[in-house]
Amino acid sequence: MKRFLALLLCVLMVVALLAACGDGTQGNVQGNVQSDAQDSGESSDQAGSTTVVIGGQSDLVTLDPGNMYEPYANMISYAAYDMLYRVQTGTMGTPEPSVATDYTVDDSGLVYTFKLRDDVVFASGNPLTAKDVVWSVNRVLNMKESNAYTLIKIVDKVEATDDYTVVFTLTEPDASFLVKLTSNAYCILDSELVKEHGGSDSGGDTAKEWLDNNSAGSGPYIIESWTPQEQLVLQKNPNYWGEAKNIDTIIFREMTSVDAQITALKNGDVDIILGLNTETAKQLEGVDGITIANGPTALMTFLVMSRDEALSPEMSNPKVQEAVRYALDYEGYLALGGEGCTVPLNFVQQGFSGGLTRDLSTDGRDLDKAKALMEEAGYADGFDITLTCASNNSEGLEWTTIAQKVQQDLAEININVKIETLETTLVYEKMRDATMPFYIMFWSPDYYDINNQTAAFLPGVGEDGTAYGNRTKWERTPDNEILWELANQVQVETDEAVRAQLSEQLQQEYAKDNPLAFILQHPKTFAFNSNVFDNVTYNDLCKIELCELNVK
Amino acid sequence: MKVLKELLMQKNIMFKVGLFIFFAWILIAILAPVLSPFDPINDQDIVRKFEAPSSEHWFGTDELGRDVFSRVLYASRVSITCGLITVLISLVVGVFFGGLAGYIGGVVDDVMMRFSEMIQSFPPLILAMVIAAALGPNISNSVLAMAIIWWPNYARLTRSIVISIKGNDYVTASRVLGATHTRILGKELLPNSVGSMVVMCTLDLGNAILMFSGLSFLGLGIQPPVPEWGAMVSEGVRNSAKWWISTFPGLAIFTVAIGANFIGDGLRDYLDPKMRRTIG
Amino acid sequence: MLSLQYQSETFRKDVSDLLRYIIRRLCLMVVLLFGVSVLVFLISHFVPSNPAAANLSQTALNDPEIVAAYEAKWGLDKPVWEQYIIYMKNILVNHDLGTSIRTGRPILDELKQYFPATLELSIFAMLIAIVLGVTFGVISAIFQNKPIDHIVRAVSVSGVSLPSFWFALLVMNLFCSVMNIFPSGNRYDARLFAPNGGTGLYVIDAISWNNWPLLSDVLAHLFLPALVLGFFTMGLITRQTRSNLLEVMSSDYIRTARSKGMKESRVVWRHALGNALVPVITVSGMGFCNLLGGMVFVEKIFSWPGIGQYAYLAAVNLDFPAICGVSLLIALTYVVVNLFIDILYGVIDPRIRYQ
Repeated sequence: MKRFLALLLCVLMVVALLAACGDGTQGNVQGNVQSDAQDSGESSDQAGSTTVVIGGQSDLVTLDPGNMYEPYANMISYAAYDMLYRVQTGTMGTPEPSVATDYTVDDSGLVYTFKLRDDVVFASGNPLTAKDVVWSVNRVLNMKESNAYTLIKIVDKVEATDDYTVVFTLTEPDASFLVKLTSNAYCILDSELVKEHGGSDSGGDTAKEWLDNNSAGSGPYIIESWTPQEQLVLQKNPNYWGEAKNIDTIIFREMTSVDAQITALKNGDVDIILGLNTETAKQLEGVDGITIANGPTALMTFLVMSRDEALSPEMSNPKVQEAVRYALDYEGYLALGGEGCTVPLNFVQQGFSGGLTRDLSTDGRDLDKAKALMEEAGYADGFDITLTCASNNSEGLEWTTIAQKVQQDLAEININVKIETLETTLVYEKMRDATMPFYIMFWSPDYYDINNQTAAFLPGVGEDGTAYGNRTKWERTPDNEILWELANQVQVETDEAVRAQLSEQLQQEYAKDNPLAFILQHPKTFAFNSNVFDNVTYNDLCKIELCELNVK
Repeated sequence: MKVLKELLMQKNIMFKVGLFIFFAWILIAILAPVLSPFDPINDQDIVRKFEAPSSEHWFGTDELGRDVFSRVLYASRVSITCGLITVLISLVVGVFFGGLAGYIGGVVDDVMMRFSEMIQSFPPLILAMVIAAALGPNISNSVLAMAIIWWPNYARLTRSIVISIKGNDYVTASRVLGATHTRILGKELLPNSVGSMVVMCTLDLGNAILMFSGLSFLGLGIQPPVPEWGAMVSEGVRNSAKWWISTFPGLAIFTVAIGANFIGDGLRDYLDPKMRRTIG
Repeated sequence: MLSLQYQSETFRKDVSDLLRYIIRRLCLMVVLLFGVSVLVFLISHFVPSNPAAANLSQTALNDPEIVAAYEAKWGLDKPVWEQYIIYMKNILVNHDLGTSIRTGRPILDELKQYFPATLELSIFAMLIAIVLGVTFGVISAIFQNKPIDHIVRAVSVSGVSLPSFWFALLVMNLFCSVMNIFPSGNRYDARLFAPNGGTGLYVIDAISWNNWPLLSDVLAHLFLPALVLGFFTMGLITRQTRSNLLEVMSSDYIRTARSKGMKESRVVWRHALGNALVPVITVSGMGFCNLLGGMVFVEKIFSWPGIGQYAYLAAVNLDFPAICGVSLLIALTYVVVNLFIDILYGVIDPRIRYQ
């Protein structure tokens, strides 16, 4: 009898467990069975329906344009939404008109007036008007805890003067405003639809949950479903107002290992893979029907040396910092980073106004000079220092690998480096508190304009300080005031040629003294099935330009 | 000594193989500086990165052009030491805790055992990941994390032995004769528990080395430039076409673990009937 | 054997015994889960770090306004005990495990999404482990100390000695890249279906939808990760089966059966195995919990969207609510599985009494 009882109990527990698993979705099961049957029926009916699968590791955490900032966020936001201005294909953030046709700016540089196209409709069928633009911007303006807020806080107010005219008033003049407009923060949402799902333009927005699984935009695709860490399905927008491409479904599939991606591409399970670096791409070289491609990125990796004497009296010495720059074996880092890498002169990457690279023939590794500088600083015999290294990577190049190379390079000028590896999170925290004397960091712009760099890398400590000014305690002094004079001109200069020249001058001045050592600017390597595509285009903001994809 | 001789006299091949492998690794760990043709950390040569195995570099070179063979040899030092320390800490904490719980008994025993159960119900790897991520990944933190996970096993074993001793007729008799509790425990606990403890320790040593390399594989264990097998395998995962980078360190982990497991198994087979007789 | 004869006295006693036992276990379970929640909360909060640093962009971090808004939103500016009380209140009153700091989604939803993937994989891994383990164990015991015994034991010890992250890599390279007979990761072919609705256990879903192509696809994706994962537990089970079987085979009643002239195979299958398998159940239960913990490696290499990866991401991003949620879920699974095993134990071995 007891056996019977216990057995009964076991069975009950199993049933309960299964019920618990199915709980919450159980109501949908029936519906899904049907819709699934329909789906499979459809796909067998229309054998011509085109599906493209992309494999990679996106780390996407949300699909709400007002909350995104992850590296792959704009790949999705560009497919599902439109902005007033968008990034021109294949460029590093050059804006071109999208929903807006053109704009005027007043003499103060504060008031931008945009004319909108009148033929844009959302996927829902609602027309896109100025009130949607105003609503979408106000929504993000009231989400201060979001990363997108950094790009939108320049906006003081936004108004619709008629159905197809929007007027932005900025808090201060900003030559990079158009570039900022191309980011996900300014995606235009279907205000009627989002309001139905908890959207609000005056704070207390609760639409994120809905926007994570649906889209409310006017882009060529709509978000069909998203299962985080598993896959994201984009479906062709039947109401798309522009010229549609010939793809019906795009699936982005999360693949955590590069090996799995490579195998899947070879087997034809996926059509594009994103997780390569120069080394792993070699496995695909010469494989029939596969094209390996490179795209430029704005990601750069560098060493940060604090000016705070309390952290390290030796490392904070500007002469020592200069010596470090001369002691680094740049050719070696280029070999590590692989094809497509460059060494930036300093804080302006290739692809930005006047971005300069380091001339390795004249300005490369020079151990004699480095040793002389060390002696000048009074540390000919060297010293011990801890290099903090987050467990992170730059486009597949592990920072620990870089750190070990730095350790060896600096040993040549008697600097004895001890490597300390920490979780990325902890390094960010310490970086914010400016408690590390020497560490590896990377940086990628939030928007593609040199103003982003000057706001981050120039000297300046305290409330009005810059990000790296604060992190390295690099003070503004009369000696480096020239940097700010030039930067202020760059910030508002609208003539691109003049701006590039000013920028070059700024970088040359910056090179004379700064607390950083720039190592590499990285390329993005990806590969695609050349039987499916003629070409796959890439830009750093959107990564793969999904809107441009067209199958053969 | 007599026990060892008896052990070796047995027909258990696997025990002998395990013993051989394990002591070979300990020798390698001790003699690493002598055996390694290159310096595992400082002999970097970027130009010669990713070279396939050759007569000069037996196991090839890694992404910084270092000799994989030397690194595999050196890595044995860290892994084996950390495994031993982890097991030792767990043993000491577990024996103390379990002994106390079993000795006092009653409510105290109940509470203490529930506490150890709580630790056990905790997902070990997640606990280790959180500790390593939070306190910063380094040798001592990962050893700490693993010891926290492992000691309850020893506590339970010690407790059960202590309780069985307490119920033993002989003990009851000697207590009647006026022997103190501590003396009885000291006299009885050691000979009764040493066998099962040794078995558990050797088996756990293999597990500890596995888990340790797992943490390093995730980037939460030992940090570069110190060579460590798990970290080396993860470097190989990033460069999977260069099979030698991950294959040899993986084999190293495997052989050490299998050595420890063979020994543990052999010991258990040898001790099992005896243990049953004494513990009852 | 207990008498099968119906006796109302015994029955009542059995029921009350069993109920009392279960109630006791359930109470312990609550205490245990409470302890786990306190423990993980303390660990994850006494950390010299700030989730804001993990989840805000570099520019946003330099902006005190954004950081303050972020901390206020997630309650990071309150003392730890207050955060804990809020947390527990939410669980008990609103059945809400909180919101993940990393993704901003409700943790209960995320667990519901990831757990079935892990559960399905572990169940299949256990199936592989039990089938192989028991078979190997029996072979090993029958041919004790013969060459085949040594080989099987060597294989089973290899099972517990293989670093799973390395083994997964080997298996994937062999079966996916070189031989190309299995898919290299994920749970299903992206072109086959979009996962929505259902239980999330795709094998069951596929069967209930009568979708046979999907079933074979899902099984093909399951095979390799389940094999790698099951290999470790297989080793444990082989070991246990072998030693139990040997012990039982040397017991008196088996000797009696033999002396009666019964065929050896009949002795093993009919009499010895049943008794020898009882402790194997315990090992299986432990193995199952081990699987859940050791999932992360296999999931990472086979791109399996399960709890292991979720836990890893939560840990490295110091996503406290998610860490707490995962730990509670695994602890809950642990106690439920153990309770289940203990009761099952009683079914198979009537000598065990619930106390």
